[in-house]
Order: sequence, then structure tokens, then C-alpha cells
Amino acid sequence: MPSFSVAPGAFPPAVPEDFPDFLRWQDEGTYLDSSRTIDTVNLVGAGIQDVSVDSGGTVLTITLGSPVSLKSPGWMTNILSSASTPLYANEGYGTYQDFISPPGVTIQNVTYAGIENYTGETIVWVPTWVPQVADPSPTVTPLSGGRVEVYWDTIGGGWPKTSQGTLTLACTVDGNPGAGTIELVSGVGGDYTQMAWGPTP
Amino acid sequence: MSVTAIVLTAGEYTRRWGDVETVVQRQRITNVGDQLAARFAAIEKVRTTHFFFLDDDDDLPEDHLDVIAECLQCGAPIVYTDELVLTPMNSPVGSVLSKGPYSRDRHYRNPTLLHHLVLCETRAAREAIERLPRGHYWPEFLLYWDLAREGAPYVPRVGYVWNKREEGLHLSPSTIRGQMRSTLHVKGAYLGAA
Repeated sequence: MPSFSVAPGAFPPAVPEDFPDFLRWQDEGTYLDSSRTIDTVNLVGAGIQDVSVDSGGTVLTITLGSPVSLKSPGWMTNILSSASTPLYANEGYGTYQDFISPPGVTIQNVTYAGIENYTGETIVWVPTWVPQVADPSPTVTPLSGGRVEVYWDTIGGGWPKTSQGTLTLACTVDGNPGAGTIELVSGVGGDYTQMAWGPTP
Repeated sequence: MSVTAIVLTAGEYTRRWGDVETVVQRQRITNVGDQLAARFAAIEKVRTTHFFFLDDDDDLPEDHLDVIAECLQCGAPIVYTDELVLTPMNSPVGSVLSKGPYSRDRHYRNPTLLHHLVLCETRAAREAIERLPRGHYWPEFLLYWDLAREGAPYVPRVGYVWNKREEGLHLSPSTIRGQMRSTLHVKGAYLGAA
């Protein structure tokens, strides 16, 4: 008479019935969900620095911190004057000759930017120069009061012109990124004007 | 003649230019990004083999049909002409802006080398705009640069009358910065530089 035997197999482990039906959420020790129905967590607000899920998809990490600066850089209302007011939305245009007064005598080819509503924060300016061809960058020099000076040297001889390209100014405000960047382009010319500035779109 | 004039305007546009068809893109343009979107959208509406852009306050010369016919005979994806520039100072005589022959270097250094009038092949333009970025770029330069990859025939005749005013999109900071942004895109995408 044939015999048979039964060997134990590799069954999946039993799932405890008491875990994890859900996680309960508290705010400073007080439960937020009285009926235990929450299945989605929505994170909002500027105080959240980062939210990430690990590669296994089981660990949610929320990094909190102080709110980031919402202050913006801005070209001065009169871009040729460090004493005027910086506003992010400021934009304008002109020719390089507009920066020289009177023509060929006094070079005032300096433009200025600052921080909106500046109240003594530490400002670090981060310029980026992308030349249309290969012209050198204008010179960017931090000033007091959160301001910055941009000097556009005359190059090429002949009719006054300066480096051609796009200067983008970013900044940090007390270590936090400023809100937005501003830019100034120089040199397209032709039937159009040579210099234009404003917030980076 | 299978040619369309694309006109962007915020209001009505009822002018007609002989055998040239007209596509009127009614849209308020506040910056160069709006302009790019409107121009590209209008190209999709063209039913003719060729088109050109015409500003709603500009004119074409009396012999424009003859000039356009000469452009068509070139058989190229893109052909350009000279333009007559009329300003409050020099009207009604104006001054002819002579563009000269095409080269990639001249075009890169002066994005307005191809400006008024530029005749484009519709099929080639539609293929080109599939490759082009969207956003705050000057659409004419992006499109014309792409279409002129193999060069661009130059017809040394006045094909356009630019009524250049003291204000307008050509003086908008957004347009000027969009022009530079376009050249820098070209520098990275076509000329192998970042």
C-alpha cells in the first residue's frame, strides 16, 4: 500500500490583525482625527522645507524649519541711482549711450539693484553672466544696505558699447534664497534698443 | 498665390492685400511669451503653402505681390527682403533698411537681420515649431533661425513697410530680453555652447 507524507511549506507570515490599520495624527499631543478616518496627509505652508518618501515607499520624512525669506531682489526705480528704491517688478530699457552723461565725457555706466523692503538682513549676491558671444562679464560689487553695483565697461572701441549677453542676479537673504531673480540684457541692438532689465520671467 | 499674412491684433483687422490670404489672430499681447504663443497658434491656422507675419499697424508696398512672387520662386523654406522704415521723423519718404546676404554669423549677431518681410514655408515652419521651446522667447528669431539651417535666399527689394512708432512691442523690455534669451537658446541648442 503506497504511503504519503506531508511536509510543512514556506507560508507567508501571518499579518497581525491589530497593525497597522492606520496611523493616528496628533498636534502637540491632541488627536486630530476623532473618528480614525484620515487616509491622506496634506502638507502646506512655507515652513515645510522638504518632504520625501524613501526608496522602499514606507518612510515619509518631513523636514520643518523657519519660513524662507520672501524678499525679492529688484532693479532700482532709477537704475542709474543707488539711492532710489529697489522693486522686483521694475523693468525698463535704454541704449548704452543713456548710461553716459554727457556723451564721451563722464562714464556713468553703472546700474544698481537692491532688496525690496530691506531691514538689515545679510545679502549675498549671486551673479550669472552668459555672453551672447564671448564678451567679459560686467563687474558686480556688493554695497552697503543690501545693494549691489553692476559696472558695464566700455569695450570694442568706436561707438560706445558694452559686453553683450545676459546678467542674472540671484541672492540669498540671511542664508535663504531670495524670491525670484532679476536680469539685465545688453547688446541685441539692431532696430531695437540695446539694454533691457526686469524680473526673470 | 498661396500665401497668408498672419496678423496679430487685439481688435478688428479688416485690411486685405490682394491675393494674399489673411489669418487674424485676435489676442491681447502683453509680453514676448504671449507673442510667441499667438504666432505659433496662428501658424496652425494657415491654409496656404507659405505665410509671413504682418503687424496690424504696418503696410505692404504697392508691388508686394510681385515681391512675394519673386520670393516664392526661390523655392526655399525661408526667404527675406529689405524693408522701408517710416518714422515720425522721416515720413513719408522713410529709409530703406537693406539687409544684405545671409550668413549664420550675421544672423546670430543681429537677430533682426530677418525681420520684415520674411516668407516662410508653412510645412517647414510647423515642423520647426515642434522643436522650439515655449515661453519668453522672441518667436521670429527662433523660427527663422531654425528654418535657415541651410541658409536663406535674400531678395533685395522692399517687401514691407514698417511704421515704426515711439512706442510698441519693439521697445518692450520683455521683447528685448526675449531676443537675448532666444539668441542664448540658439547658442546652446544649435551652436554647441552652454
